[in-house]
Amino acid sequence: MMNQLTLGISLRDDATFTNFTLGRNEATIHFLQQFLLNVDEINQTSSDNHENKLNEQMIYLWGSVGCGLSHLLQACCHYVSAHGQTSLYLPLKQASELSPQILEGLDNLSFIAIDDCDVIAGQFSWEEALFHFYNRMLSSPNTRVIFSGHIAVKQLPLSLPDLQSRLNSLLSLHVNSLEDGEKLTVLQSRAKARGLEITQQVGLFLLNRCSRNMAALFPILEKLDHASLVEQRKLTIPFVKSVLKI
Amino acid sequence: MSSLYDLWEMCVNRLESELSAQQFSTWIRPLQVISETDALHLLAPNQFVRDWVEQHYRGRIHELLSELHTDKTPAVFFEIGSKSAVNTREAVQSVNAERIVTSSALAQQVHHHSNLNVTFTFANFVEGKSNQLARAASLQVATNPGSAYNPLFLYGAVGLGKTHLMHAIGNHIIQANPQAKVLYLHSEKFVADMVKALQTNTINEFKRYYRSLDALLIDDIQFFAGKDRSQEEFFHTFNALLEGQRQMILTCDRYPKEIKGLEERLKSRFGWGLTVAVEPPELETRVAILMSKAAQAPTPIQLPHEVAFFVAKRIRSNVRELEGALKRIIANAHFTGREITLEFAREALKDLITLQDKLITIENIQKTVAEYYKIRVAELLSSRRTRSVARPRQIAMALAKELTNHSLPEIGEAFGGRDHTTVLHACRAIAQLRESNLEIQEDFLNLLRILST
Repeated sequence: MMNQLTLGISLRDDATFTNFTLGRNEATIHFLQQFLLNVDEINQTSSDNHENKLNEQMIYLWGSVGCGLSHLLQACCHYVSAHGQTSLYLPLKQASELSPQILEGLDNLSFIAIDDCDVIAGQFSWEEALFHFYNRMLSSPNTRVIFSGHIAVKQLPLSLPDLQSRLNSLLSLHVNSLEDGEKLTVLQSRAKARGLEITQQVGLFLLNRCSRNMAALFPILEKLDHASLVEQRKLTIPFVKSVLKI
Repeated sequence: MSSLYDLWEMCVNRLESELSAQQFSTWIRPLQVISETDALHLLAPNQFVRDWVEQHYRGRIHELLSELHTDKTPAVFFEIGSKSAVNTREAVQSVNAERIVTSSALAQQVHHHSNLNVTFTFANFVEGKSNQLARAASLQVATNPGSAYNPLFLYGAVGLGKTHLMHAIGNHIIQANPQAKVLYLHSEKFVADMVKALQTNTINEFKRYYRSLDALLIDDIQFFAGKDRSQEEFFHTFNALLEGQRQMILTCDRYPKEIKGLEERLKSRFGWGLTVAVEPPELETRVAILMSKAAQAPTPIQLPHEVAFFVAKRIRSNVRELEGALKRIIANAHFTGREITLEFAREALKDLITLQDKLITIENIQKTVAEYYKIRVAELLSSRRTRSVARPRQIAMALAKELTNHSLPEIGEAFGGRDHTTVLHACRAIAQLRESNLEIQEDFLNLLRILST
């Protein structure tokens, strides 16, 4: 039987607050939205809100791999843009392709997200650049900054104590991973957005047999989506087994 | 004019739908645009972003603009800068959009900014044995700038209050003499300003500006190490200010003689005035710092004494870490609306004050469970099926599923090469037993607490 050819187009998964499954992170997400609005807007829109009174300029977000940190930071950029402000998302897991110079001159932006801080631990040029970036941001109080990593700030194995101590002084918030039931819901809704159906049985099979980390599950979903399209098959357990060779 | 903005907006929307959310947020969102007749100037915050965008997206941007614009496609210029920088300069002079980079040294000449943080004062500096000498010396300098101790060199480990004292001196000088030209800056800023002055051929203005100050406060001078040209310039600035009896205050993470990569003549000059160490605060001072910071929080709180003691006892290294811990407690209290008690603080800071949960690994879970049930880890991994081993093994598997992100096959593998269905069975069995057997429930919760707090 001939396989169906697919178009060279893959469906994008937007990273917004709306499509982030809250799980046990409702308070954190609510805080982030308040944190991102500038002071004037906060005063106008939510005088009775508690979170705005924390008045932080920079924070540290952390959580285990696959808990949705990158999604959240990109959602923050999206949110800030929707309010007509500028932002930059910096994924330090791509540090080898980038240069620490990317941290220069950012003080005119409204929001900066520095993702995967744990990745550059031990790389002195990046650590020093982040330290100087932090200091420059202190003179730019209208710019909000989120640093993120997969370990608690105190346990970041940084070689520059100056940077470690500054990150230690930030409000650090933990992003909880989803429960398995919530992961199943996320998988199903992502699949649905692609016109693909994942039954509860197939979803549980994936969670029991593959990684339970969402960052690893999404590429698996991508692979299944492609295979399902090529072979014009629904996602059944035997089909999933054959595609994933398990 | 506005149609070009609309055109760019449409182009951005198309790029958003074509690029990944990450690419779009990294490279397109930080761009700002200014339009002229038949031309769009895309402003990137720095050279790296500009070069990347130009290299990777120039072609597509051109294609989209010509596709979306029915008339003549506008020219696109990729530049470094921001709208606010352009607006500032436009107010002073008409600018060529290609030359948006401003020299901060020059900008400072027009409007002198002290960069001082007005919230750092002597009044809110918590004094203890560890810092009383540094505080006394700083107060002397603030009261008699240029004559008491010059330079004042404060050194010590990170996060002990050196920067606070430095700002307090600056604020005190300005309070006594509002005309005084005081400048606080981090050593990196001095280097950056000098580099820009060299690039823009304004080194004489740079020298004149720095040598005209009444007090120069430079933080973390250890970052001058290895930057010979900056050291040279700083040496002359230093001499000029000292000769003119202007005050110099420097901070460093170590004693001047111990700074590697710094010229000997600078090290020797740093010792001309007074060199004072700032030591880590002792317990009572840490408690006082916490109480003081809580009272100065944006929404001031009355921190219970036992909570302050609890935090201060566990966090000993520096004030910044204390500050981070306090922020966490206050934020959690805001989020939950709960009262700040000892138990609450313990819960809020569990990842800060314990090392155990830095990495909850399957090995760690196995070790903890084995210790709890007084069996050996090897038995957990063995094929023995007696109740005294099988039950702890099932609990350990259920904990591994609950506390780690490992897949069930991985967990099975870590328990002596068992199948994922065994893990699944163990998790289900323990879930049921926790409902029906109080002892199992208690053991499970105890282990959960040991592993995660």
